[in-house]
Amino acid sequence: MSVLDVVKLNVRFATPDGEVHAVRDLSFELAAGETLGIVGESGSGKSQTVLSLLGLLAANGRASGTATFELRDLLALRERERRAIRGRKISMIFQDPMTSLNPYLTIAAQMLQVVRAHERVSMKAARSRCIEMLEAVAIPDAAARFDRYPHELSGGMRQRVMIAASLLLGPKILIADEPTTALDVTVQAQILELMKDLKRRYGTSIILITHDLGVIAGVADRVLVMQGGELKEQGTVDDLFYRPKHAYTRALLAAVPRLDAPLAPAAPRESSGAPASLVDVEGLKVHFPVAGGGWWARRTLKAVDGVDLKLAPGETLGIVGESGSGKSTLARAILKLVPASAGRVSVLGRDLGGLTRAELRPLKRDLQVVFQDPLASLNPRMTIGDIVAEPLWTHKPELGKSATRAEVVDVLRRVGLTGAELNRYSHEFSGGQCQRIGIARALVLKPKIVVCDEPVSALDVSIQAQIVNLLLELRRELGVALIFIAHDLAVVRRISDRVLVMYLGRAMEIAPSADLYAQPRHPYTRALISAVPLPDPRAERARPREILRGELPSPIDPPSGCRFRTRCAYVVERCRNEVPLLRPFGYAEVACHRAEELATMRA
Amino acid sequence: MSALAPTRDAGVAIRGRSLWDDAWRKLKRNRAAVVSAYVIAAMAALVIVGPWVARFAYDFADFSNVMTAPSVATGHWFGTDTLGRDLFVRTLYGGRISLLVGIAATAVSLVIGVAYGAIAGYAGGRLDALMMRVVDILYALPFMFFAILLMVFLGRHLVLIFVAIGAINWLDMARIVRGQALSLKRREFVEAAEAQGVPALAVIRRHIVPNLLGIVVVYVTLTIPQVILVESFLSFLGLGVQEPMTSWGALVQEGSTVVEPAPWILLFPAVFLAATLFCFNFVGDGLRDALDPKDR
Repeated sequence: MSVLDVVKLNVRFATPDGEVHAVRDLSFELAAGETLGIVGESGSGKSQTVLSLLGLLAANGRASGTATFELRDLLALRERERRAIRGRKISMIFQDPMTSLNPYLTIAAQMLQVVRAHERVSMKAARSRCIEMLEAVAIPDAAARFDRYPHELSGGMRQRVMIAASLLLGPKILIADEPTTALDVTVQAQILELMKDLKRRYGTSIILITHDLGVIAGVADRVLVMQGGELKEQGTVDDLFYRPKHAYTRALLAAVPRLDAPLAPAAPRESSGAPASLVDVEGLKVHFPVAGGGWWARRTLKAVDGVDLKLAPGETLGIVGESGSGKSTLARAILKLVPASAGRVSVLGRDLGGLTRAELRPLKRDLQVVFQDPLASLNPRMTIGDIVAEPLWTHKPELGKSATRAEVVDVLRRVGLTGAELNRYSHEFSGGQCQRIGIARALVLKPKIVVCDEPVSALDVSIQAQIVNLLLELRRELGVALIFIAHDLAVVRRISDRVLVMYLGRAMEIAPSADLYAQPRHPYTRALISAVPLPDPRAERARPREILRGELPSPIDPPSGCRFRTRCAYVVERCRNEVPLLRPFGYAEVACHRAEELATMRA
Repeated sequence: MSALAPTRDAGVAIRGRSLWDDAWRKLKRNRAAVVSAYVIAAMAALVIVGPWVARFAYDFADFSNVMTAPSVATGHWFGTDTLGRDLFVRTLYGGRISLLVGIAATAVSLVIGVAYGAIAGYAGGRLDALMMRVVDILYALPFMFFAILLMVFLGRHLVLIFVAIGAINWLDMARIVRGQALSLKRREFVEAAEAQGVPALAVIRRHIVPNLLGIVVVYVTLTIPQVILVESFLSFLGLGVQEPMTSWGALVQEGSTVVEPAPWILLFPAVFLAATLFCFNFVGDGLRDALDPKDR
């Protein structure tokens, strides 16, 4: 019995540049109690499909076709009738839980309004129903959290609230548009578990939209693959993963980074005696004063709290950790975008400590950066040619106009663009292309070190693979050393020689890539690895999970002793009192009191 | 992987479509703004060229036609004022002064305000605090008091009007620009420039200022009418331009005293003044919509 039957859905947008046909002749069914995955890259029309069903298209959009739900055509309904269905019969959760909650209203106000808009119930009854639902989505201390504001909750908690609010009226269909894309892998694992559990309990049909096939594997029953507004393939999740028919599906599958894929060959090392390290960080602390605890009181946010690292020439060092682990702050301190509170950062043998901006400039020639958000890191008012040429203007002003231009074209070609982009602007390019431009800007000076701060986190999985391949290729050709920051362990694994795992501002484990993934020594590393969704439905179903419970504690007031102890499954009394120091263990260095013990336990 | 390869454009150095191009296109679709821009242009042309072709000098008193109503026969198309001076030529001269004051004072506030605000906002910290306290102190000076003091000590002079208005108006501009610069400073492309080692002044010039110009342009179109109004107010109080030279404000003041026997003396300059203010506001609104990146 199908709950929703969509036939020949077409969505068109009228734009100044002509009509855009976002969804073409899409037909599908959704069975009762089924989880249907819709997979595709940005612009494949997957979001527009569900928005058109709810009548939420932008003003210039038109939908045609039929979508039968409870004997009525959703597309032919009037706005008033649609509103009665929205939220009550079909509800939706969005990608960013922060922007879909109103920051000026409490959770209570926003959830109560959902109930009372559709049903006549007393305030008290509505309240207890909301709190019940918050408990159902595993929000600890739900009654107390109910009267908080959205900003007082973490991203994962907010997404749970959104899910709770959408389930309040017992909808027949829950539509989730990239519900975990903005979240950490560990929180993603929690939310996916929650969705599986809720489906079992309430029998709601779920439409799960994502660009990440790994997310689909463990959750969905059937999958639609979309590209350019067209349905390319549909089938059960097993068929799709094990017997993909369409070339596009195969390409998507190949792009998913896997924890079991062969490693990239290690970068060639310069074997000139003892390799001097390019970057040398010793006991680095970065603390920020924050307001709190009374009118004039200031507290300290310890973003990075005692980290050592070395980067050898030509090496790639991966840094992973959840949001709030201090990995980006560490990168910014190495670039001297934030000042170090204690400890030492030296680059190419020079201590960055007392250097002024002008003294720092010659060093920057060898130390470049690629940022997370490709579009935001390009000046919207400058042409691509000027953006890529800017480092040359600063560091090689002696080059003439034509020589600068030649270098820019050369580097653009190297990153897989044509060199014809010089006079165009960043908003005319896709996310992946913008990131190529960002990489071109970082490489135009042929630096020795490039710091990549989550360079692929904002991109579709398929584009991520392209960018990682590009970085691997450039590393081989140019021998540049990379510091590669990501929260996705699978991506880091492909590119890194060594990986540093950070938690709450401290290093938990540093190990050569192969060892870290084969034999994670630290419980936190194990949990992180276990949270990565596998693009393999059977393995995903069978896999025992070590899901990290709870959330990252506040870096203002970190736990005593071992910082990870509050979420660690193996915590003992010693972890509370004594800070574990990083010490060698096999090829790795681990900061865990029980590392040896746990290793023998698992063996 | 071939199915996922990015589509590439062939050819050499395609001309891009800048945000300004986009804004221009959108502005051209806004009928009220386009019409207003034409009216402003026509008004500017009229007040520049008009007096040369007018039949009377602005200070010529035609004693045979004192306070006469508009008529083609006498050649006084807008009538004459209480001293028999031709109102048509005086309205155009007044427009010259009003527009000149509006544009010049705004230009002064634009240059000082943008430079000051961008530096304060980008530098941040102590320099920012110091620079903004200076602005606060100047804000605290009552404008009228300041204008009157200037007039009393230095005598009435056209340049003093520019100085008085400009000296106050750049404060608003500086505040707006500083606020924008503060938020721009945290954008990733500015961080990217800093990470590359781009010198501070180059960051301000290439990254900060071009990105806040959108707001500044809008603000300028709203400042010009405001300044015209302030000048009119000063002239209305008798602190503005000096007779026999005039401005729209001065003309309105004069007209308001004889509104019952000779309403045209008030009507013509008032209509010109109001039309100009309206048009600048329409253009400003149009620009604001056109430059809003969210509405593409």
